[in-house]
Amino acid sequence: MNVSTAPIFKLRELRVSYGPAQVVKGLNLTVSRGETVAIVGESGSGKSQTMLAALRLLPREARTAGSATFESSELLSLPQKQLDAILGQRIAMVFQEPMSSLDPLFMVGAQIGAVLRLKARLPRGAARARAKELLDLAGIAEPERRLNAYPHELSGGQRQRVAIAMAIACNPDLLIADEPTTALDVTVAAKILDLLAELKQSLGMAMIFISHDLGLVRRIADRIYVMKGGEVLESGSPAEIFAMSCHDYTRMLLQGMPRVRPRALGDAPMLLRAENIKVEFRLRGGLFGTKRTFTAVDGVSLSLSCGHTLGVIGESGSGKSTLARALLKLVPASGKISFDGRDLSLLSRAAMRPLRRSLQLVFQDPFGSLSPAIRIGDIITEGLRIHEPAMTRKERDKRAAVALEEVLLNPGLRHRFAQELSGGQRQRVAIARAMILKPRLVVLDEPTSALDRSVQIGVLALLEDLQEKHGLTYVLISHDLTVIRAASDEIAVMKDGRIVEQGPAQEIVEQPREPYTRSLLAAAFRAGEA
Amino acid sequence: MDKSRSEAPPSFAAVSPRNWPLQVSLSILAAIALLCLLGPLVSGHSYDQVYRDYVLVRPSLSAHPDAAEVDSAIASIARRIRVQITASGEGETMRMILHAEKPIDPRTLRTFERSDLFLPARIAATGDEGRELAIDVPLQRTVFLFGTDANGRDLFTRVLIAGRISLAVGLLASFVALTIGVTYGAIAGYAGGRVDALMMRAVEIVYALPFIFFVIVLVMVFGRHFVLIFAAIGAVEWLDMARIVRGQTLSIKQRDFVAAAEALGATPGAILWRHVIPNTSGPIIAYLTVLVPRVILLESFVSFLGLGVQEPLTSWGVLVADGARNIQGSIHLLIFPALFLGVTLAALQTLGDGFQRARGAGGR
Amino acid sequence: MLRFFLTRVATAIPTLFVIIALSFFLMRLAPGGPFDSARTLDPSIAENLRHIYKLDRPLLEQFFYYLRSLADGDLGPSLHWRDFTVNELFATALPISVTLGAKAMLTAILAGTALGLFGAMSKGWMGQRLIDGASIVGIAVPVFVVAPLLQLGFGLALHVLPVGGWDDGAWQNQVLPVATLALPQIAIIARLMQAALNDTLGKPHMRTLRAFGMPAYHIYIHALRAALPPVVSYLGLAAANVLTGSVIVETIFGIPGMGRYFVYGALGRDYTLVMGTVIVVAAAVLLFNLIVDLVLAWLDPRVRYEAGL
Repeated sequence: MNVSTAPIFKLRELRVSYGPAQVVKGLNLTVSRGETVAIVGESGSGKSQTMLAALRLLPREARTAGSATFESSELLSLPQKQLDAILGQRIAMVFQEPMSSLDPLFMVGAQIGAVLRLKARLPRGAARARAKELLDLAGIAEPERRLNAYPHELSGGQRQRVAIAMAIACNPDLLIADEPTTALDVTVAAKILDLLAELKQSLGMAMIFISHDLGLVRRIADRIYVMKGGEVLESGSPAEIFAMSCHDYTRMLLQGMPRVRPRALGDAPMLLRAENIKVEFRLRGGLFGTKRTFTAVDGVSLSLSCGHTLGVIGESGSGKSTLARALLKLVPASGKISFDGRDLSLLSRAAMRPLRRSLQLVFQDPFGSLSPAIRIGDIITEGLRIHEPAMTRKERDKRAAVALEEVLLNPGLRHRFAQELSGGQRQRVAIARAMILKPRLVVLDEPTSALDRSVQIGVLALLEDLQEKHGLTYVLISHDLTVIRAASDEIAVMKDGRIVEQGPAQEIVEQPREPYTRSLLAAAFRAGEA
Repeated sequence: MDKSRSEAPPSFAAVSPRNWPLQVSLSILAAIALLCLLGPLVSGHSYDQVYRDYVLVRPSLSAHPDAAEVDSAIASIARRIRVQITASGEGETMRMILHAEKPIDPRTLRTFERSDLFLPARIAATGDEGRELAIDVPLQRTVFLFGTDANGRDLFTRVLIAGRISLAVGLLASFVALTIGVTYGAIAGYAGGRVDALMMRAVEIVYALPFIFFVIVLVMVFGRHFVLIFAAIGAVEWLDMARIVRGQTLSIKQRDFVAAAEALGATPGAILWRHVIPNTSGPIIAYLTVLVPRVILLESFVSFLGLGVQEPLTSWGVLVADGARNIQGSIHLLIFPALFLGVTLAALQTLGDGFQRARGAGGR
Repeated sequence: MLRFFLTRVATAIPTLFVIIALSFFLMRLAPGGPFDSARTLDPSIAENLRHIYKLDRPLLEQFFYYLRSLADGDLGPSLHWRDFTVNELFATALPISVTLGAKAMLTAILAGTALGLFGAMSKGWMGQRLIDGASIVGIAVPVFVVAPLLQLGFGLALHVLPVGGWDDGAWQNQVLPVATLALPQIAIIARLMQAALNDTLGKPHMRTLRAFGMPAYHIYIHALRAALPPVVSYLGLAAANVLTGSVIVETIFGIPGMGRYFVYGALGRDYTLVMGTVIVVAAAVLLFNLIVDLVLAWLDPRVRYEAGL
């Protein structure tokens, strides 16, 4: 790590406000040539806003004050033309969502080529050749062919590589990466991190790496700034932060998940047994086309005992969400499902209905799983309306209040709408909705993935409490190894619609047998999740 | 997998102080509606009352008759009852002296009554064995704010009455289109698959023919009836609503809260009613504000061609058609109804915009 | 692409068929026949006429006979103008209507896009408000108000343009009708374009372009490209609106196009003429929508992907 002490980027007393709301309150930051600086914070901390403000990319409503200097130019007061000359050439940015940072209507090669032609003033032929080189540098296989690809034809990881290729096209002095790996799978994220580190080294760039994950930046940062509520809480080298931080907040971020609580599990009767579940989707072939099928779940068998938690881990596209819905008969599937001795696969929709109160589902996206058009109270008690139609409105209202208290929310919230609640609150509401019918089995489809770490801990603790109190059985689905490890008794690893390996949690984590499981664990470790 | 944790800056469009398009357009529409409803009651005229003496009169705030009109009226009355009249007097009553060769029959004085300009005459004095009469004739004051049409009917009242018809048609037909369209679209979208394809095929078929051809064919078949407009408009306008609702339903169907309702065991009907339709209310209302002006416009198109509302009932379209025909002499016949029509349409449009603004800022 | 195209054509044909059948039977249901006019005909002549035009045969047979002649491209004889076939009448009328319609659409697309672009690009509030306001006026003022106003203004007051008539296609005679037809579409397209551009400019990948310091014109090219689909989608409807408007415009300006024939045919119960118009119009609309769909698919590579192209 060659870190010359000459600072090339400085923020002094940077403030950003939207009307009366201050999102960044007097920030100071320095980046030296060749240095990697990490800004860590949860959502709402202002970390992205800081960088966007410095580059004057915020919408009109935002007010920026203070100073942002690059080399000797004051970015905030530079005439637009000069600022444009710096952006893209000396300072480049990589964003979090690769799908939205690339234009879906233009070919990848054309987009990189545009940067080369308009910024580095390369003629067309040279630009295309250089674009191919850049794709190669960014680790894309068959770069010649990929030049003509559209963004939606590439995977998430590949798109991010393209975004990185675009960013380094003009050999910038400073690369700003805003959560570049957050939207990617664990194994892919690890590779992207490696790529960034490699490029930084070979091109001698300075880098500002923004993330919510403290563990992630530990390996790559020279200095870390921890942000909360628009301010820097503390800063220092990774060693300092990790070993000697005295802020509660930082410690909380560092801690990750609570370790697994060893649970005394006796022999419990079998509650759920699934045999050879298969889910196929027919793809649109049109009138004249051939019918193609896509197998989302390919012959999965599993069993679950009362009171246990089965953790299903897999990356995106592994079919785990589809499996969750198939188990609850929400998508058509072949195979046998028996619940508490009864064969569900033979039941008609109508016959299935009364059983549904025992089988519930909590979704991943707290923003999408609550209807924006009805009040919280009505959302929670919908199950009661269906299964206990004799209840009066008043009785339902009382049950709603009780349900909210059980998930540690203010019962007054039942008169509000979903939009008024935070992500963590909404997820608790979703849990309350599932719990109000006193189910026996609850399938949780990525229940904490859309939440901040600090909130995740609370929600998982709640789930555990409820499990103990009511003797619930869980199927917990996630891509996040820390969550799975903390909460599961048994683990099943899914890939491409099949279960690659399953067994007691301890065994899987400490002595994985299958190569895929091992690479998954390794990647998680590298990406700071373990 | 939704992992976006990027911070979104607070949305400030919601906080913008006064949604003035919404307020202005609402006030304008309320004013027009009130005017059309109550105006005819206080305008002092009935919409089909004919003033034979006031044909194609210009709009004016001052009351008729004016001096020129009085003079020419007196001259024509004199000719008719074959007397010589000398008139004098200002203000509300004219003093006239009538001379004739033969004694004047007082019954001929009823000519004054029958005229729209005068009230019944009173005999003040008689002379020369009845060959000379002095009478007092009060003037009948009438105001024609917007002037009169070719039949001598007050345009102001007619425009307002026409407004009642146009607005009523607009609202009613839109409501019918709304009900049919929402039901059709929600069912098609939720059922999906073959049912959806079939239902949408039917929509496409009716869609292929522009509205006006449809109406004209219907007129050809069934003759000219007011009800026809409703039928034709209803038959065509529900399509767009159905398409929109279907599109919305398709995307809402994918949302997790629908799956959650299914997981709870809700029946499809309950899901449609409790979850799908309330969540489409935004686009539905937005489309309504486009639909109502379209319907009003369509009705006026049809009436313009002479195929819609029949005399003596009138709508803005009919009035504009009349106005277009008289454009060279009496442009006021075109301007006033066109103004009302245009302002109403513009206000509805702006209302829709204001609505969008308020809704779009408040979240989905 | 071919598969997509064929699929769409395959679904259009039954649609057209249903329209033909519907219109055919609907019209035959009407009380009264094409030969009931003010002068009552001698019953034997009337009988003869009905026989010649095959109106005395059972309905279904008439229908099949009609379909057969359609397949030959023969739209049948006009029942009202008995010296002419419908094909002959259309031969003169169709090109006229098509000319007017095409010019109106082209004007609308160009002017609308330009105005929409102007509105979106203007930094201050005035530009956007101006376009918003102007477009509201353009939409709110109906065709049959605009037409006489234009006639009054340009024709009678300023004497620069003829008030009506076709004059064998002289350009002066085309200006007012085309302008009248185009005006509301310009307003709508300007609005759509402005809204679409504003929407696109707020999208994340636009921010990326700005983060790379790309020049303004480059950003606008990308924005325009992304804003095209909603505007192109509207074009199908625009064509239908222009067709609707043409009925009125041709009547007001006295232009011998399809619209006018249609109205006369309807009032005179000329079955074949009206049928012919319905078929031509429906076919035109379907064709146009097909083209619009193809263009949409071509514009958005994701749609192409999904359609299996």
